[in-house]
This record gives sequence, structure tokens and C-alpha cells, in this order.
Amino acid sequence: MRYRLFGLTLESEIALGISPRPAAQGVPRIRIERGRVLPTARELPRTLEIHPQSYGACLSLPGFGFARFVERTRCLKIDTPAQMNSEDRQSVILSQAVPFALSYLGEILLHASAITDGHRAVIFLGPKGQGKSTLAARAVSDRFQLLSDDTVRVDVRSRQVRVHPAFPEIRMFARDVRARWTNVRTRGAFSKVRVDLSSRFCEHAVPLRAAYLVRGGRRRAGIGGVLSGAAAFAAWASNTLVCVSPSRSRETSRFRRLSRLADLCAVRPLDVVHKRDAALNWSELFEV
Amino acid sequence: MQVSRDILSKTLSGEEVLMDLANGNYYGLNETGTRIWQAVKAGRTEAQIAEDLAADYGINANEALADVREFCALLQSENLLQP
Repeated sequence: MRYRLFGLTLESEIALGISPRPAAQGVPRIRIERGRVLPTARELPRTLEIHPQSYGACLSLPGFGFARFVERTRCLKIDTPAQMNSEDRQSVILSQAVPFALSYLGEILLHASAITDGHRAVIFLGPKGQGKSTLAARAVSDRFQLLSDDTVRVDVRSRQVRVHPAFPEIRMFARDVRARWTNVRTRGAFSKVRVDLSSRFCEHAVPLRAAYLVRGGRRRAGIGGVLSGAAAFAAWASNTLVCVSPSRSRETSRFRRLSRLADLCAVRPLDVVHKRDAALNWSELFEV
Repeated sequence: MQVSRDILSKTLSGEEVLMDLANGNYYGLNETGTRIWQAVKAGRTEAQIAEDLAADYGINANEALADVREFCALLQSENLLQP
């Protein structure tokens, strides 16, 4: 099956639990297969040197198995325990294995959520637990569309940054879903549930308008001042998924694009109060 | 003293950001750190950099030299500079 994920076409022999899109045409950037990930002793060369070109980069998913990406074949092998339920497997592939492979290929993937008004995107950066997904859910409950819940792929061009749609789901605790929506389809994903937001999902890339560093749990909500050069770069870089690839030129390019990103788009701290969905001026977030 | 081979750098709003290609680590320098970094890149010695800083900030030359040495030692310990 072919899927459109993170703005790219991917082919997968494992069902990912999201609708394959008619737009998913063209040569797949990555093929997802089932398979054994760790090579046997016989497969290893005598020198016991692991060659990334042959064996690829391996991602350990503690408790859930392994993923291995071989660039030469563009194959992402998924090796999860047979008894693992398909919902959890899909969740691991979508949220960890695919971003890992794309990062290896030099793409910029941010640990962030993103929303859009259909024309401009706003990105919420920040460490786990600050409320990035909650903000995205609040925006979608209002009048905005989802671009991504947890991992955002950005495309940095000379004068513009474009944000690509990831996939139409958001992960939340079941009680928060019940409090917010009654008419959405959900499925399990570890301690949270995956909420299908196909009807509120933007399927095309949009230019980035603003970026915020979310600081949750504050008593007073508000937007802070623009972060300085190095601090802005740190905000982007520390929220970028880094899978150092064997290619020096690819890492050089990633650094240049990240510094360009810091140049093109200011980052501002955003203090939020999530309790009882305290008022948030969405227009202000898009207009700063 | 010179910048290590694997280091990429760029100035953003007057502040230098660095990346070590060998390990993927990123670094950010403040205004004074940026000045010292750029002076090292331009081939100036620690003593020359300290003289410039002492003149510009109106501080004691020995104090400036101690600060420059300490900062350069820190950069060397992170393999950003090499002797």
C-alpha cells in the first residue's frame, strides 16, 4: 500500500491504520517491510566492521523491537515481537521508525506540533509534557486544521519555510478525547489513544508563519519576546531529530538549513494554561 | 590555535552557532564568545584578542587575557579549537 506521510510517498507492506491517499503517487521515498533487523554473525564481514551502506542504521525501540534503514535500497525493516498488537506496531512505525529513516536521509524533522489556517502554519516546539499536542487539539477543536501532532517535517528554502502535513492523527489520553470530542474514531496506542482527525487535516504543505517554544503549566498565559540568534538556533536544533548519517555533506547541509531556519523564522516563548482550556488568542499567534 | 576541521559555524543576529560534524553536537556563543571565536578564525593570538577586549570594554589586560585563555581552553576541551 502507498501512503502519503510527512509530505512524501511511502510504500508499506505493513498496514499503518491510516487511509492510503489517492495523492500518494510517484516513486516511494521509503519502503517499509517486515524483517529481521540484526544481522547474524555469518552475515557480518570478517573484520566485524558494520558498513552503513550494507547494514544500514539501526534504531532500537526499547521493549518494542528494532528498525533498520538501508539507504541503498531505501528499505526500512521493522522487527517487532510477533505478540505485539498491530495498533502499537503502527504507532511505533509512524512516530519513531519513519521519522528516523527520514532524518537519516537528511530531512529536517522537528519534535513539535503544527496547525494551520489553511494558508499559514504555526509550529509549537518544546520538550515532552509541555502541552504541544494539547495546543494542537485545542486549535483543531476551534477552527484550525492539523498538520502534525508530534513530528513536523519542514522544508527550508532560500526565502521560505514550508511545513508538510505528517498524518491525520493526534495522540491523547482517552479522558481528554472524551472531554473534547464525541464524534471521532479512536484506537489504542500504548497509554494514549490515536484520534483520527482526517476531516480536520490539511493535506498540503503551507508556509511557516510563526514558531513558539511552549512552556506549559504557567499561571499566566502570554507570548514572550523574540529569542536571540543563538537561543533561537538552540530552540530549533534541540527540537530536531538528529540521526547522524554517514554523509558529511548531508550533515553540513542540515546545519546550513537549520541556521537558515533560525534566520527566517523567529521563535518566541509561549506560556500556556491548559486547565479548562483557558482563553488563547489564536489570531495573535498567527499575526505576531 | 585554529578552528578544528569538523566544525561548521554561522553568525545569527550577532551570535555564533557551531556544529561539530564528528558527533552532531551544536553550540551557541554569546556576544563576547562570538567575538573571540571570530578573532581566532581571523588568526589572532590569545594575547592580541585580550588586548582588543581590554581596550573595548575598559578592563584590565591581565584579567582579559585570563578570560580569553579560559574560554579558548573550554573550546579546546570540546574539540572546537585545536592548538
